[in-house]
Amino acid sequence: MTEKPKALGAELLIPLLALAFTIYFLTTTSAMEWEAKANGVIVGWVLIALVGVQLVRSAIDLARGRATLSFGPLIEPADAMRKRIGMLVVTIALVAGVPWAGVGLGLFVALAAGFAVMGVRPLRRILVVSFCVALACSLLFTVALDSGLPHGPVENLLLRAIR
Amino acid sequence: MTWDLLGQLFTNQLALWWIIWPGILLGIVVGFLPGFNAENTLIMLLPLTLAMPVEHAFAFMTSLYCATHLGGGIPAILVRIPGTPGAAATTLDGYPLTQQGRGQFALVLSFVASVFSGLIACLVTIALLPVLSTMGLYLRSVEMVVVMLFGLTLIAVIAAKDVLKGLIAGLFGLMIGMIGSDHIYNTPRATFGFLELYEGVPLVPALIGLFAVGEALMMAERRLIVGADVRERTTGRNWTQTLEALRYSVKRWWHIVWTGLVGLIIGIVPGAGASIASFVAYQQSRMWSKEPERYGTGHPDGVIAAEGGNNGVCSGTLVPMMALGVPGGSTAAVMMIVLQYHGMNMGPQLFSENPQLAYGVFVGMLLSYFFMIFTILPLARYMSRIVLIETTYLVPIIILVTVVAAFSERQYVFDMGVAVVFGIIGYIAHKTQYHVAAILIGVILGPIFERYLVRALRLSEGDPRILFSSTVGNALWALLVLSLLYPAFRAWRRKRGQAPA
Repeated sequence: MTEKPKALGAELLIPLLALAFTIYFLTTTSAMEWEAKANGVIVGWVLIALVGVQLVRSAIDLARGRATLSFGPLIEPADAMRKRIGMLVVTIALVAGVPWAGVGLGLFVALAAGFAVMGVRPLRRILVVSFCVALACSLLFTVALDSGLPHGPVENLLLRAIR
Repeated sequence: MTWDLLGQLFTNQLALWWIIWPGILLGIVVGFLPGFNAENTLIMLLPLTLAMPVEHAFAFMTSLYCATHLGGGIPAILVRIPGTPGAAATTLDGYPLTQQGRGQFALVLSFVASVFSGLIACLVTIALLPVLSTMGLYLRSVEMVVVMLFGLTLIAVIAAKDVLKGLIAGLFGLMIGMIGSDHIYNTPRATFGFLELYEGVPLVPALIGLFAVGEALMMAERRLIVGADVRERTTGRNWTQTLEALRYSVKRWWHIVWTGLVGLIIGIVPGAGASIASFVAYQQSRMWSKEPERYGTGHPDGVIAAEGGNNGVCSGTLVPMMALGVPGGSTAAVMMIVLQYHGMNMGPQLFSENPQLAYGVFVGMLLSYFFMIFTILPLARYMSRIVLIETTYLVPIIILVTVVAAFSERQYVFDMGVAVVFGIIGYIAHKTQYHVAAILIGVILGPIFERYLVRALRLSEGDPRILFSSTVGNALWALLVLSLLYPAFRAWRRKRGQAPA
């Protein structure tokens, strides 16, 4: 049985991210007092060395045909990837929209969009579940726990009804 | 303290059941929700607790505090999302148990370990309060550097399966933990120009991202959290797993006791907390275990150790506040506000002037643990069925609700963005087998380790020999070396025993 080649494109993302951040840390702290950078320098250089070993190991695997530069494990299966990207877009939209829409309305719209992206049908079920979850969160976060989340039309209405 | 006083305190606290119970229920809910914890809930409820008589306020606050520690383990086990940072270590073995269709078993183990380690820690605190109150004075920066190393060595343990990947993940976490102002000059480091990162990477959004968002993105490719083969075991409508977990807990009573005591001792140190305690207890449990290779794959002892350490902390945190007037953690600081508002003097005089209150706090805690086990245990069977909800519903709810909850700790919308960024890192790490727990250990323990290390080195003007200058510190170094060498020694002995004569 032949072993499946390693997908190095995906495997190297974390090491490269770590390497980029370490270089950023070391360059931006180079002029600081030793107390401020000592720990970062020690950990950072060890990390650079380890990433170096990982890169060499990957290059050898690539040269021997035991690996490819594919991103396979991250993007497969394609159907799930569509859902993931959809969920990320919805989440980023929620983060951007929550300061003015408030947690209740923002969460309701985002949940409805999220359920649709994930393939929940029919529309009525999407709306009912989104409404129930958003209302429960609104009550819990803003009324019961008064967590300081941005208020929107739903929270203002709820608070007015309670007071 | 006399037996008469103890009996009287029990009677008094028992009469406060009507305030302990709501505290427990609210605490479990708050613990369950990532982003919320005892500290921010108690701050929100200050108007209520300040208006109560001080004994009532304390019964409510301590029961809520203990219950949040227990509640945090529930989502950690069921959906791999720690409700509180202290429950992060619980995911390591709790979630694999759920995936094997043993969610009910894992939940009951976690409840029993939480409650009994909390009880033991409470009893020890009541019996040895004068001794324990001075213990914090012996654990200074030098000793805490070694305690932190106990936790950090867990990175190496996690790395055992793929050393290079594990170490890269752990060190990446440590680097991320160094974002923010340094501990001596307050100079911002690697903040990407964001003012919101001057205090460091916010822990709760990082936790939510790495675990909740990352794991939910993984779930998108499955219809259910558990595989079809174990579904039947999960749907079984009986108490078998509950009884099995109770039997296992009785068998492993000593494990619960000593991990609880680890939590108690770490809790006494001001600034140290449940996340450190649970990782240290887990690491020690694995180091001394006869089957360390099973840890991380659903070993019941892993759940017991993490929850034991996590809950043993509760009494410990209150010791320096009650005995010395120094809050052991942020939650204790909020409780101190209530005490001061009522004109109570903190420190040794509290025990001579008002022993009813001083010891009553711990007796109240003891009772809330008793109430807790009877409240939560019957629910385990029903809670474990959460994993049967289809991921088409779970994924949007987990991602969106937890990202919103990321706001709660510091009340910055920025933190919701931090959760998304860590979610993407968490997803990539999950998919490419870079252990997210190793990243998280670095993020949690890194800044605390750096703080103690720099403080110690500053005291010695940069001379590293200070790290070996105290008796307690040296004893801890010896214990650390011993606990690291022991598994290798045991493996060598086992190999020698198996070798043909």
